[in-house]
Amino acid sequence: MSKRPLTYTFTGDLSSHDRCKRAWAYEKHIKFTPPEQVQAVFGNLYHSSLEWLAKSYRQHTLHGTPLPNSEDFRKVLLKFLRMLRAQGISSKVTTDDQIADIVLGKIYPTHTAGKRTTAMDPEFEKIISNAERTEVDLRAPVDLKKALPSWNPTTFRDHQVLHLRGIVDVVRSVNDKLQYDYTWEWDSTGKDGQAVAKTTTSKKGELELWDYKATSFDPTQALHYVNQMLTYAHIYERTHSVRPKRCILFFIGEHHPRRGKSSPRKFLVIEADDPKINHASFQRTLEQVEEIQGTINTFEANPSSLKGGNVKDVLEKDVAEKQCIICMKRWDCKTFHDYNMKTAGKPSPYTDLMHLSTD
Amino acid sequence: MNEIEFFSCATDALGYTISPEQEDSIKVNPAKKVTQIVAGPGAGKTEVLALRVVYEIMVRGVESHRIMATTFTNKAAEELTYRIANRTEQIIEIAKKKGITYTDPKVQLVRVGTMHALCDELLTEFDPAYVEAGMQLIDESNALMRLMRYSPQMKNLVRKRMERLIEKPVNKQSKLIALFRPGWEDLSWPRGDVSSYQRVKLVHDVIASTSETSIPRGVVRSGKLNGLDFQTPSTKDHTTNLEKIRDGWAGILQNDHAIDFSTIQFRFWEAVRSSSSPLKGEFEHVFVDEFQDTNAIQFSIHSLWPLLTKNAHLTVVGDEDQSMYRFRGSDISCFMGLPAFCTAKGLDYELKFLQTNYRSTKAIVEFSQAFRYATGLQKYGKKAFGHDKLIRPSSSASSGPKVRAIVGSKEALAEFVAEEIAISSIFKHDDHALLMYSTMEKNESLPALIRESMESRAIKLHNPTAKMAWGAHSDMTKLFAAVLYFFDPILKKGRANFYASRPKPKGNFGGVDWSTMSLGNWDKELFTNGVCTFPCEYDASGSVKSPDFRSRRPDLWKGITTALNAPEMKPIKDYLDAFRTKAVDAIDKQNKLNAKSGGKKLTAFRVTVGELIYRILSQPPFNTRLFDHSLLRQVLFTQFFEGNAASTRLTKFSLDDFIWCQKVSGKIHWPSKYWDMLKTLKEYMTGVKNITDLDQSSFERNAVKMMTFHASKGLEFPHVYVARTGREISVSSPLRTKIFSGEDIEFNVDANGQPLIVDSVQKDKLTDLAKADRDREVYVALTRAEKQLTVLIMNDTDFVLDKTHEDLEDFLPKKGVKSSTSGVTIYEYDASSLLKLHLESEVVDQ
Repeated sequence: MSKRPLTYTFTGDLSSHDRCKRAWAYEKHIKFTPPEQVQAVFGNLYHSSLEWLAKSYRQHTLHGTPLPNSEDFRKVLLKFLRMLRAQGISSKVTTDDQIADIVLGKIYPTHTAGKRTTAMDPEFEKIISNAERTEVDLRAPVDLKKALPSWNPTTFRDHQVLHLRGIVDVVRSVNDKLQYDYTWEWDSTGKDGQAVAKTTTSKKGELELWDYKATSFDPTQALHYVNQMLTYAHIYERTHSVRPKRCILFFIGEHHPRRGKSSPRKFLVIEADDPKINHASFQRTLEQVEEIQGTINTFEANPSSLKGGNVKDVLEKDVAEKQCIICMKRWDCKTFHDYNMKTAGKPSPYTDLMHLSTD
Repeated sequence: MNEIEFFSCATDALGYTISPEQEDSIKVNPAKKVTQIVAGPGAGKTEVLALRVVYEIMVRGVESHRIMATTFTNKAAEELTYRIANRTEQIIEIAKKKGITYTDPKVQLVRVGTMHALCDELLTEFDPAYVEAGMQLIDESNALMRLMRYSPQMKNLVRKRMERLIEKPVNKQSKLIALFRPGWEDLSWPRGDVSSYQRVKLVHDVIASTSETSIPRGVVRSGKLNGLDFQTPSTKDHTTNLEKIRDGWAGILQNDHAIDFSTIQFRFWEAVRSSSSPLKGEFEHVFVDEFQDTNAIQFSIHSLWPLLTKNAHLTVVGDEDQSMYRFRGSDISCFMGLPAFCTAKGLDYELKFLQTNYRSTKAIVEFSQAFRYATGLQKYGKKAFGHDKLIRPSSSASSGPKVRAIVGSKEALAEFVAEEIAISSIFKHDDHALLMYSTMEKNESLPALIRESMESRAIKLHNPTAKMAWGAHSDMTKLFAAVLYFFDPILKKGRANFYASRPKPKGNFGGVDWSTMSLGNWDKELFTNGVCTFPCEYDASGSVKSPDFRSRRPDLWKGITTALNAPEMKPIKDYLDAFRTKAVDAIDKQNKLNAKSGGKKLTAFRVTVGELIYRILSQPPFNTRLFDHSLLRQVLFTQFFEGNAASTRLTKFSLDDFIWCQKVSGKIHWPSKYWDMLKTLKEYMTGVKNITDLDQSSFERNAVKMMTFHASKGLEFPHVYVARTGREISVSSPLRTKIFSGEDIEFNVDANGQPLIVDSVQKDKLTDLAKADRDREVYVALTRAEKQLTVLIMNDTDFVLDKTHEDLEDFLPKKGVKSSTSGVTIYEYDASSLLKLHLESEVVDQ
């Protein structure tokens, strides 16, 4: 039995495996480096700049330093964009100024060129000013033999211990109430569900775990995010002896304060006060780890025998249309080929080795 | 939770009783500012360190965010992080059952990481200027690639000054170079131009030594003088120039929001030592693991913690007998000199020893101690700490089988080992480890023969440090050949469609009347504008028709032709020929459209070199690889290309934008950046002397491990074979440390390019240090064994790497019980009497 633990981070590893295990195996497991491409500029920018804002608010509370204004924030955004560029994360189609203006418009909606303001979007302000901690590193040692009934040494290659890690964007201790219009509702199986229109208002003293998503709400990804957040809640309770009241997914892509009308789907509430449900999500995460181990075993037995798509060997339409067409391993992917033959009756031009992408 | 409750819970969590020696090191005296724990091999160091952290939080009530622990490697940081989290959770669970009250330890707030990672984390948090500059931490290969790619700035600043320092053109007898020249290299090192891997590596290592050894030592010891300035003739230029080079390099990096390992430590040290240090009062406890391998700048940083904050404590853990990274800048005198430093600074200091080995059998512990005494290693610790450390087996340790020496020819030894492993009923294959100074599997070397013997018996062998990734039959080389072929196809007579040469030097082109210009002018114009004319023309035999063209990149094809001409590469070459035609035509068409668009650039062609590589990888022979090293070499190639050679993150501009060229008179003109990219990539891949394969942990499964002494540090194996223990001793590493520490040691450069110390007393002293470094490597290897230890001695080779350590060769065959089988002689030892013998001789010496 191996003395060393298996280590997984549940954001990076698990979600990409859920979409396509073949792409996961090449990129995440064996670490083929994909060609430099337009990467998640917005995701990185929101996380870094909101973290900076939260720190500024904390300094203001602790030491009375002045709160940043919109012009300060714009400078910070441009700096972070330069830093991202230095890391190879950049957009080839949008300028830094354009990107900064989009982000600024969401957080300081009344900002106009040359006119600085400290008036932050009220909802962002309530999140940031109430942030107890940001970028919280959660670590959970798990005895797989005890926690996972299906554990066997062959699948896990003699690893009995798992070290599960993840980062929560914000731990918010509610002081200023917020209203959320969408809530995750589990179906009768307790394994799936959907986001439904249901209003929840936070109360003073409640503890919330927040995760920023730079995108719009995507129903196909919702279950995965919900499981991820409740796994955070379970581990948070285990390591801090406090159970969060709820988790909130903030889809910033749905938030348009300048237009005066944001989508009600910008906040998705996931109630976290039922330890059984949280534990079930944690179990689901462990099962995902087991599925990943299965993928590793298949891949290492023979890389070309690993099919694309999810663990049920199904290539979802969304994945095929958004991910597969830029996947570095698409040219010889049989799953993608079969999908195109079935849906379009012909191979995708993106898998033609002589194809020259033009637009 | 009180102390008794803590140890009660911890004992239940561990499933065994914590020894008094370990308990003492977990508790330590809180009144002492500095605690040094000298922990021998197998003493449970990581466990003690983890429990020590948890104890401070749960019993002494230290806030977890006021604790920091630094480790030597990322792997060790991960292990310690896990161990702290796991032990805390176990202790809490047991405390709950026992009804013991405790406060939430919040162990996730303890900072654990390597020195570099923690410097980055703390500067980000506490230094607004660091955040403002938007620094990204880069590793050594990234730094080397930058030095290769930074030609304009480097030429004007770092390189120019560096060239002056090492006396342009490179003076092979330069004393500075001699300090950095690897022991196996001669006067022709460093080879190549200023962008060559060897020259760049020299610059990099000199900068690192300046930041990590010279500057911190210079300030505290000898007033900013590098030992090179004491040489004859005397000069102060070296100190001044080295500092300017370091600052220049740091400035260049900062412009690109980057910072390398040595620079970040230097910057962090400056931040910590300033009178207005933002870190004042931040940490109550700092723990440093593997302190014996710390360097001068790290020592300077850590020694500041107890001075910076009232009531702050520093705990360092290490073992002077296991220090083995002097060649990478570590200095064992930091570990040995801590007691004296504390005395000088008035810091309350406490010394603890963990001398029980819980890993190995009695026979192995006693044998390794006999080796320690035979080599004289024990004297260093005794001198530093005033204590004669003797590692003992645990009371529950079995006697174990006797330690063996197997003597024979390389072939006989390889066969013997493979057969023994094949028929062993005691050990599984993955219980065995073969540890050697070098495991390079070349020609008829012992590692290569062992692999052959193992594989003939269907035994899987895993060599994580095999430097075999680059070679004619490697997928890395084939991939490079394919990319090079895309840009520079070797043309055969009759294939006129691709050959490119410069246009005849007459007529108008680019607004210039070339009728009066020479070919040289044309070249100058092309290069000034960043455009080269390639590919070149070749005749049917593969020779270059136009040697002047070929001479521009004579090195690119060297060693590549064999890989490209392999029959399995033909389909790829056909594909690349066809794709090149199509791509260049499309680009040319687009260029013409752009020219007509009145300045409006139309982007149409969106294939990058990176994407081209993946198109190549999706075809035979590359897409038919099993999960083996061929596949890993493909991975390594993409990592080098995307992560280092092409990436934007190195210099803000990417070498991997959409492929572009110009067609002039039907000939392709590739921008010079492609040639720079290919040159950088090849320099790096061939420069790292037989590049190391990626280490994939799954290869270890059910496999016999073959690894270097250095790679085995921190690991343990049921059965260890130790071989190649007698490498040559070189004074380069200790001398370099001394010189960069500002010491006055006069030396010359010998005919082989190695330093030759003038004073015989100094020479002997440094030779002793160098010998001790080698002894420690062997000691580390011997102490990896849990149940059985076997030493392999080759008796049929003069090859320097195959030699056996003189003490092992001397006392093993002479004092063992002899038997013979299968062409080898086996000696078995009574380790107890062997140790007794050496302990007695130690007493006599005294």
